Amino acid sequence: MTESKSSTQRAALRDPDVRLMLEVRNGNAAAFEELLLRYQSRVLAVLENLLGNRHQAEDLTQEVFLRVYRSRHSYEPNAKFATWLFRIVNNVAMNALRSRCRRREQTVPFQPGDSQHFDALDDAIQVSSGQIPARRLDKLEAREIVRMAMEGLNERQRLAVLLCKFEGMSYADIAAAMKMSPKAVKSLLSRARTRLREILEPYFQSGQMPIGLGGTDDVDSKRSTMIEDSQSDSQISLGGAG
Amino acid sequence: MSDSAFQKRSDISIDAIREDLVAYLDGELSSEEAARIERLVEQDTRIRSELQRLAETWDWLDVLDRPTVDEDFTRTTIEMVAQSAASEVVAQTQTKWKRQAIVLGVAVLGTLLAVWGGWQLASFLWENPNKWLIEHYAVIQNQDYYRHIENVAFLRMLRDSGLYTDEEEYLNPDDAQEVDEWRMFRPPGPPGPGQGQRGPAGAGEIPGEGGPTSNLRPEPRDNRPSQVPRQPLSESSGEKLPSGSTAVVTSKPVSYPASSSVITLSDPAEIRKHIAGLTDAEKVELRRKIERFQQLSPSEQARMKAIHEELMQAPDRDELIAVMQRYYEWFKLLTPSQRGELETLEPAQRISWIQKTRNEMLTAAFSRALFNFPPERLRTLLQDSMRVPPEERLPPGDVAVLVRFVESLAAERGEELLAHLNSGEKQDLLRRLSRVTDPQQRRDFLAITWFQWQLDHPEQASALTPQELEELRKQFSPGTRARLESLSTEEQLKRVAQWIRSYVFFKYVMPRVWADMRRAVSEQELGRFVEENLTREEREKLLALPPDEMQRELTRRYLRWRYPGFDTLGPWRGHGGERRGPRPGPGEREPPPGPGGSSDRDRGDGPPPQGPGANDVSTREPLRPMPLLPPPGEVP
Repeated sequence: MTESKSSTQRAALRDPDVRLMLEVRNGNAAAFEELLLRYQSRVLAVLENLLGNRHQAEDLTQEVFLRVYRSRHSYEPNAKFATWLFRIVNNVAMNALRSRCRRREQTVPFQPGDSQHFDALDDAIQVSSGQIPARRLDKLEAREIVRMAMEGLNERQRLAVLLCKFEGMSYADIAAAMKMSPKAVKSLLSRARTRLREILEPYFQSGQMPIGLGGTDDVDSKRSTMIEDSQSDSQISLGGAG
Repeated sequence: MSDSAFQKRSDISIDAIREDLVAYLDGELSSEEAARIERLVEQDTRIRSELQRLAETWDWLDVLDRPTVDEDFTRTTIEMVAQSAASEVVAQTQTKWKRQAIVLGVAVLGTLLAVWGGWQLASFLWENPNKWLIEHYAVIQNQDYYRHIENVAFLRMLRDSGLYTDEEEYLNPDDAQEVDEWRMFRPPGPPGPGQGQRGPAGAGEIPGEGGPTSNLRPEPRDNRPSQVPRQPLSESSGEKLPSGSTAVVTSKPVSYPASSSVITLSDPAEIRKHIAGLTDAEKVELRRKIERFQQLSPSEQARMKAIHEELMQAPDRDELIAVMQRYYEWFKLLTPSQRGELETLEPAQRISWIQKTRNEMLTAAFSRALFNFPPERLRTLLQDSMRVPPEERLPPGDVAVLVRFVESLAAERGEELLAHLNSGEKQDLLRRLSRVTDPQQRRDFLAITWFQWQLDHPEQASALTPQELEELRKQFSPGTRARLESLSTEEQLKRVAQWIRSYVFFKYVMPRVWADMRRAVSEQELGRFVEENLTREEREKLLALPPDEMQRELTRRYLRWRYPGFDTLGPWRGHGGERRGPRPGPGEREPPPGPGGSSDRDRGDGPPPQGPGANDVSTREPLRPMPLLPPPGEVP
């Protein structure tokens, strides 16, 4: 047991970010800044795609790094730094999601006034004004569709997908970060990918707007809202491959 | 699952291998598992298609934003962390101070706990001698009170019976002030040699009991000089009062104050302070009480402690304590035999016994107060009595007639006497009588008052009316009647008045004379007698005797001088029998032969004992051999 732990620590020490974190533990502020620079965008990306809210994602990203700093004294190099960091991300994100549920502030995409919607709306206005090419519009649409599909997953599936897809983390690391077993992560990711395919395949294969997102009835309204907001017309191909 | 198995089962479920397909795409399968999947993909187009679709799904996610942060975000984050670090430093500083304060507080508390624990341990291991005293202090001081009561219920019975609800100090024969108050009819005159001193001792003394320490009592009402007790106490101070038997008494005189208070302290600090405030004499007395308490049996100690605890917890505590104090003061007045008799009774019987005895004592106290003459006055009365010529004396049978007659008149005459008193005397007597609730006792009081009046007013020739004289004369024997009828009516009345005075003298005064004669004569008295009354030759003659014989002879001469002719009982000798003096047993209770012999004694109407120990002459040795008294061996 002790040997296993020491071997784990030796493996962790091969991670340069772990060594940086140890520097932080020793009071090296530059090391913390370095870690911040290395990971802040990644954390922000995960949180934004997880929560669907940029501002909240930024706040939570800062909170994550604040926790990292505050936890420096108790830090033990038992895993990769990213694994330890995204465990914090997982905690912060799940707390935020639980708080959101309690406050009934769950974000409804494509609602007027939603900050996330502004980008799409602006893009759509630009599209309607013919200031950007159709390919650009296709990408924007696909991004929104994928984002909607991601929102069709539950939080744990979503986080697992993000860590796997964008952070390239192994099942073991994801399991460590999410406090699950690797087998559970495997199953979780399989269901998540199957679910995403079910949502996205009609769109990417035949241009059909996805239906049945999350088992709710808001797909059509989302779609119509999107169309109205973008002031699309028949000239604009929503499902064209381009 | 082998490859052949997959080949044979071309209809393999996609769902069954989807997780492996996803894991294959994510590079999470081992090489063997990956090879297996690759074979399946190669052999089964459905699987191959599924794998491609899953891979495409993953690729579609590439369109998701990969947000970047600007420098402001980074700077803001660093500032936030820096601020947190600063706050952390402050918090750590405060925490450090708090921790130091806590450490200091814990250290102080630990020290205090250690000291307290050490003290407790030391107290446990080393029994502090004062601890026992403090725990038992109140019981030790109050043990004399608790010794003579059964329990708290008995105190309540006493209270509910109406006994001891008021001060009754006049019961105490030692109370000279009260005696003076009672002697309101005493004609003014210079006090005799013993006047102003306290009356007979014996009361207020219980063998083996010292009473509470003096500082616990209220100050005495006057500064009376201490008396020489006639009732010696038990030599062994720790001896418990024997029950139902006569205590062994010796010549060790100890007197105890009549009043006292009960210790109710329970707080150790107050007890320590109280003990510290005791005088040396009180500490000696306390030491004596401690020794007495320690000599008690454990069961008796436990009984006293139980009484104390119950009494202290009682809601009517103060009332019960007052009753207990008065009962104890009264109890001290009892003779040892009375105490023994009382303590053998059941509590319920005790109440009636106490009531009866108290009445008797009250009457005795009344008469004792009225006839508490100083020695000079006693000598005068004695001389007057001895001057009666033999031919004027009554034969014994007529003495009984006279006693019956005057006793039947006395109470009524006492009522009439009230009319002759001045207002102050009358009010005083009425006030005294108001304390007496028993009708018979009131009659006794009035009779005694009238008898005392007869002694103090010899000039009152007519004690009886002519009609009463005639009635009395009819009851006398023919000889006495003839002798009276030979006189004029006025002379008859004078003669009868003289007989009445003689009766009163022998009934009420003689016991005191006998008691006085039996007391120890002080060296001062003897010295004064030698200087003032003996010639040079008589002194030299005495000095030539051996010391013991000289002392006896000197005492004999002194008593002869003090009570001239009394050693032969004067003219009354022969009428009362062959005894040379009063029988010392219940001597004071039993008057010497009166005008006609012992008939009055036989009637049992003599005064009760004059105080505790008055009946105990048979149990003690005389202080000095006196010819007037029989030697101890001859005492019945």
